[in-house]
Amino acid sequence: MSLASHPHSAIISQGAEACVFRIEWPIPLPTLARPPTTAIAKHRPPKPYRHPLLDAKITPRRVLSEARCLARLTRAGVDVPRVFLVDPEGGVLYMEDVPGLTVKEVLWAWAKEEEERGGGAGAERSAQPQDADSAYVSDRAKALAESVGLALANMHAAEVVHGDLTTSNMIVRGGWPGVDAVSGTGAGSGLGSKGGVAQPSVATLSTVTTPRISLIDFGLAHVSPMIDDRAVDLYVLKRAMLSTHPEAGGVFAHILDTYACAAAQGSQVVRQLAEVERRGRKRSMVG
Amino acid sequence: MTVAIGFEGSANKLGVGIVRYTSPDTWDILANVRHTYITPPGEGFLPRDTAAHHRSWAVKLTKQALKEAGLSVADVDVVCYTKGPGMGAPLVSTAVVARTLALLWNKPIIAVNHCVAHIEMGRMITGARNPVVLYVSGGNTQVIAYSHKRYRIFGETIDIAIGNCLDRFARVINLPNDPAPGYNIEQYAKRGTTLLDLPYTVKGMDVSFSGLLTQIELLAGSLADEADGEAASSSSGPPVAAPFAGAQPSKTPTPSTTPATKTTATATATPNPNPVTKPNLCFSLQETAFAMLVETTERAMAHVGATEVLVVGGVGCNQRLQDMMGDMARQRGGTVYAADERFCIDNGLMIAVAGVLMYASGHETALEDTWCTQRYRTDEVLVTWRDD
Repeated sequence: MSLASHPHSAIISQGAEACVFRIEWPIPLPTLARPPTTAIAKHRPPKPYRHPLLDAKITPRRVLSEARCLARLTRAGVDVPRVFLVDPEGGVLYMEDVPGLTVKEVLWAWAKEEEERGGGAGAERSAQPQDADSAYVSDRAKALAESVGLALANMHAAEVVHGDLTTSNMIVRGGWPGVDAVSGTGAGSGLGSKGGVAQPSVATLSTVTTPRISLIDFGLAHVSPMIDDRAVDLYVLKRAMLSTHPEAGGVFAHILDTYACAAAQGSQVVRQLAEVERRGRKRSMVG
Repeated sequence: MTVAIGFEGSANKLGVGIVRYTSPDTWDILANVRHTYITPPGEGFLPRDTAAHHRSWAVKLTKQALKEAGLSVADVDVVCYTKGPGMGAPLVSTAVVARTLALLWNKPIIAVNHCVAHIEMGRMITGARNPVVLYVSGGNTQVIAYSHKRYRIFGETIDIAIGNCLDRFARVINLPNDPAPGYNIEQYAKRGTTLLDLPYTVKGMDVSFSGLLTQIELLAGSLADEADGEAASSSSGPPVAAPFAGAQPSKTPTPSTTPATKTTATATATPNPNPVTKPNLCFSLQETAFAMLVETTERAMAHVGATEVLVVGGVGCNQRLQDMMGDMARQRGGTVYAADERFCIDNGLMIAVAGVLMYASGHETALEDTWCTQRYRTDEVLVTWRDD
């Protein structure tokens, strides 16, 4: 039976390469503090346009590569989903279902909150969305940005380059007090309506302490010690944040500040980021 | 109503096209003539010779285009030419032609980006509204999506273009350049049955073909002594098949042909045919390289939420690539748009189409700015003629 038609699974997202399901997880894993009841299954289905032999070569390679990156980060103490089970030939990676909200959901909820609160200040700020450096950043946004910056620094210290950093690929473990899951999007979406798997309970934080960021989706990740690769990682995130959170321009600047202080060779990477921005990531075009 | 004449000469084709533009939905194609500089098998086209070809054909093709369109010089409103990207010498020859005619006829002139011209021509011919574009040719390999007045490059080759990879491989196995090396690879690939293992290199949104080319060149090395690689394949091949069929698989290196080795060779060739044949090499090259292209295109479609995909550029008229793209699009509930070789392969009409759109939105290139450049990225052009 396929994951899509299984009664105890619900699809969370469908990208170009993989379908992501939340499934019931019946096996206790003693190394985890809390026994998991759900898991994430990431399935890379065969492609109709691709020769079956090519599929059989590529898919296991990618499943294994993603699992290896996750395992490497877990060993290095970076917060990423724990790998439960790897099925290379089946094209499925089973991993921890990290409870919480994506950074994107949190930032959107805050933007909405400030919009509802109205006031001239908010309107003024959103009038100049591209002004990344001078934008006002609240204390809670600073706390969030610092956690993200630290998470990225730790990831790069383990010599893993993510390859697709966006605010939807970062989960605030346990969510954020006062921010509810927006139904139907991201990691916070429940399964209740489908009668399938219940989401793990979210322990709510009582105060604005340091949020814990879990990085997810290492489908495009690879191991590299290159300064330039790390800078490209940050560049991809900056571009994604400018388009997804134009009102939160200052947040990226704070992420970068924290990263520069915390990361090995952090200031070099940030310098290289300017170079990457100048060349626009791409080569100049000939012919 | 505006009549535009376009001159394209960024590579080995010189093209002259004439279009009458009424509105974004109303076009008349009046002429689209082209002459290709074809080199012998095993040889590519050199810039200097290609430029000489363009110079010697420019007047002939311009006269032919005007005659086909049934127009006189007075009916032409604007002259358009390729500014870049492309090969320097051919670009310069073509720009000189366009500049001369604009001055001679006293018409305004428009400098056009070659890649943007491919896209606009594709949209005009197929009626695709806002597609993700796969632009594949001898010099370019890009996945493009429109956003905020620019054709933005989502993914591209990080080394050589797919067409360059195909052309160079065709040279290695000595396929003719007539009508096009890629066309001949496509015909051989139809008879391929066995997929040979080649590197599949997708890096996020980007692709790489240089390792693939190196590997398949190495594989082709074991073809060298064989009779055109046809020994293992059956009937319908080009007329090379029979007499040499017993020739030796290269793995047993014996320089002199003694009767003894001849017998061994025939004996081994029949029961266990070497999978390294020209058809299998062409087949494997297409299957591997095109899968890489379709995968990155699908990623771009998912990223921007598009349902349309448009394939343009010389490699875009490959039927196998179009079919694979169709398989992908169908699974996503989308549509593929592609054109045939008249419009996919470089031509003058596409330059006229893009130029007239620029002209209609208020562009005009000053004479002192009518230079050309080998490097001219797709996303450098501000798309003033689209409002979405």
